[in-house]
Amino acid sequence: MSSNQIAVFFIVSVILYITGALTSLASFSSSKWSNRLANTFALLASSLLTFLMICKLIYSRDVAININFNTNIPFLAIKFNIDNLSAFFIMIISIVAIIVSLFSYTYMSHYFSKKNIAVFGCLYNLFIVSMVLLVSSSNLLLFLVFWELMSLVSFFLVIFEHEKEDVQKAGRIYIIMTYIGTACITAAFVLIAAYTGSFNFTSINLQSIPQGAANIIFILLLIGFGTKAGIIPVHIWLPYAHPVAPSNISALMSGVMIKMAVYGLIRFIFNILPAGDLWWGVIVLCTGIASALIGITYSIASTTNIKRLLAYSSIENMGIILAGLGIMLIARASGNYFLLSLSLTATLLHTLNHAVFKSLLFMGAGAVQYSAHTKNMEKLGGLIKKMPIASVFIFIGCLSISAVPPFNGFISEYMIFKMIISSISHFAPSQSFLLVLVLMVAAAALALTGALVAFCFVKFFGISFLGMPRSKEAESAVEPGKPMLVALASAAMLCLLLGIFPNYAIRLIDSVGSQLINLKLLATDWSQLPSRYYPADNSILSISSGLIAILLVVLGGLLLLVVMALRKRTSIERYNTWDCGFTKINSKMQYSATGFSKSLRIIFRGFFKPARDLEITEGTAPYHIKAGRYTTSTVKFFEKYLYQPVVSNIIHFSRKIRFTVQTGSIHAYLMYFFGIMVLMLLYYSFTA
Amino acid sequence: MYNNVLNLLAILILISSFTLVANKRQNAYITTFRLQSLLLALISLIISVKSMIETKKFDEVIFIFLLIVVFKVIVIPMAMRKTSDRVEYKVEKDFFINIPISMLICCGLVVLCWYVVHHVEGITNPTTENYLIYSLSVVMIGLFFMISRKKALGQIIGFLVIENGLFLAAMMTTDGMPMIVELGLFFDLLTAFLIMGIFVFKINSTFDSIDVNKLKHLKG
Repeated sequence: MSSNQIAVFFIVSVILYITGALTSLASFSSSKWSNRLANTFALLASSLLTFLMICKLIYSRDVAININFNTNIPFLAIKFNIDNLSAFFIMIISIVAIIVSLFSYTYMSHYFSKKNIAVFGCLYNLFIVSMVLLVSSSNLLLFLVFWELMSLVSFFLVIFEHEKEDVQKAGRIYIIMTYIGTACITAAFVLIAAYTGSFNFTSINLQSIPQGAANIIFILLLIGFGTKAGIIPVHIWLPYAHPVAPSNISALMSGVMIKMAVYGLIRFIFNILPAGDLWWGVIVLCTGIASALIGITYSIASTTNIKRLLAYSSIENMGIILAGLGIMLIARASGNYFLLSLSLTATLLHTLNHAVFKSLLFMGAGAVQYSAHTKNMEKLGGLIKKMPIASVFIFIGCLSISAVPPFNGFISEYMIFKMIISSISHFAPSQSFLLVLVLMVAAAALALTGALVAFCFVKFFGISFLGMPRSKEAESAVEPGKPMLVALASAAMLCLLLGIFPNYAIRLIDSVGSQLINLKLLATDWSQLPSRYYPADNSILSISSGLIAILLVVLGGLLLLVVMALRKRTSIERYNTWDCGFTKINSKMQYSATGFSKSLRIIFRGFFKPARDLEITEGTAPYHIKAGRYTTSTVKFFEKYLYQPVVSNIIHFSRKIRFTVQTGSIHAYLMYFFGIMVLMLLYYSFTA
Repeated sequence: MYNNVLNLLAILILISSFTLVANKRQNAYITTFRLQSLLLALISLIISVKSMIETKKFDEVIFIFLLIVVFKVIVIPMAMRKTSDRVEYKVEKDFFINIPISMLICCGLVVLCWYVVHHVEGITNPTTENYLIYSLSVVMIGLFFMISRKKALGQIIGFLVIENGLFLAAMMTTDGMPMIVELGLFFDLLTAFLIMGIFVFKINSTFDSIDVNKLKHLKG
């Protein structure tokens, strides 16, 4: 396809999204129709975009697609430029949007007649289109406009059920954190524009930013985009906003929106800023690893809400992606181009994989909530018998995120491990002892994280889907509707396909790398050898998808044979589980979600400060309890020791200001005018 | 001769604003304001007549003279007197800062204005510089007057004095602004005056006094 055709179809799909938004609004009288229209248009546009971007990445990788509109507004040029990096991210957005739109067909039906579906459909489409335009804009101000649009629209989507108290609180935290992030990004952009004299990406001259300013810009960008990505310690909005948003929105936010931060970091650090010192990479690596480790421990230890668990797990995955980015920066600063290319591939691959399996898991959580009407794991259980098909797909998601082969999570985490190990072997001879130490600690922490992720998802799946139902709601759960199952199935299929044939995804990423850093990792010609080792000349990194597939088939066959062989010799007898002489086994005898994660809370007790409290409501003394209330709690470390002091200081200060400066007296206000005027006059005459 | 007269009138306007600051009773404010407006009207009359004699053409500034006479000398002071008669039934101390100190501060303001205008580049004519000093001083004194008086009438008068100062500056330095600008300014002034007049009644009915300091209680 020529670049003109792609540009035209790109505009068509943007118009489709906007049509979806408008038609959804127009048919506000029928919730059913506005839901259908919004999702159908989103589905159409996203399918078109997915196809378009894959075409672009494969067949026209060397052309950049430019769409320009002239404006009279100073500095703001409406310029869109889709290069391979943008195309890759648009592809992620649209793939997730396809799956989520399918899911929304039935998922939204439980809001019918309760909420305004028309507005939701409108915002849903706007949300997707703002992200698509965000990654394709090539002007700093335009980027900022779409960034803000995305943040605002997602805020309104998060507070969709705004009549609930916890939703309001989550929305408040979300919008405050978002604006802190945007403030940092804006400051960085203003600095960039001040040094380069232009807001357009293309006319920004790398050499004109001095190193000192570049350092400041880098830190500001890291904080700003880090807030959106949810890296620790600016993560606090994530565990609040994700659980309260409708599940399709959580899937989009966690699958796609937080990836926009990754896009921003890669785009600005690699396209705009000059190559920095080594410490840039070390900082990014350290925050990434810390986010990964802390995020996953939070996920296990501090929550029984399935969606909050997934939100913390998003923090963990963003941490891993950021660690990859850190290695990229280290590689760029030290001039190791093979490592740079490898880490870019690993980072982008994990971004894609996380988008797929995290949206699958969030949709799964949505399906659970849809049919069991609760997000609390202590009330779930035994769902695998009630919703068997959905459970299989969610199980695939759990396997993917726990990096179990042959699913996609394995491939990218494996590559990230390989990347860290090969960077250790690169730096080991160079006597930079500290750096090697950092890398080794990072590798160890990443390994620990991997194990904890498995723990976390054993908890997630085991408690919610296995065992006996813990409440009436869980008992009455049913299989969700067909479109939801199709959405879950397609995401699960994608997990499997990306796991078995990662080379196709890597091939897409390779065209990003060849344009962004001018390096091609793949040496062989892909059109001739579709399933060769990757990369061809580097045997330690080889992954053979063909072999994996064969191995899978063989292993599966073997397993089947063993089972068949053993089965013949055993006789099946059905009776109840032995219950130690109790009359009946009930759901209270199972592990609870809190109990299951206790070991971790004890290991990390310095961090979580777990506390328990037994309050006897009926009966005397500890030995004659008739009724009581037992509570366990953990401390939210960052909120308590980082945010609480700052917030209380700000409130204290504002209160003081209110009584001393904002007195309400007209004379005082006039006095301020007068004072400022005299000062300005004096300033003028002293400087003149 | 012409310049001397204008200079004298401008100085008189400045002195009248000092008189205003020295006034203790609210009725006296109105009289002083009326006097100041009359001086301003005289200046506009002299400027317009002079330009008519020189160019033998009709000059629009004469309209300004009429407007000032009608509104600032007759209508606004009358309305204000009515307002004060209706709302003001007790005489009490109206200022935060006592009169002698106020006078000293105003002197300081004039010195400040002189200092500032002296540093403005591009004023070649020394008389223009003087006029600018007088009018800027009138503006500053008007603002100071607004701050130092408690009752709402003080704020209105202060506002009108600021306006007078601006008119003075415009007329003395440019020999009259374009008609349309002057008219716009006048309408602005009238509307502001009307709104403030209404507010005075509102404040009076809410607090039984027009002491604007009591507006503090409105704050949540």
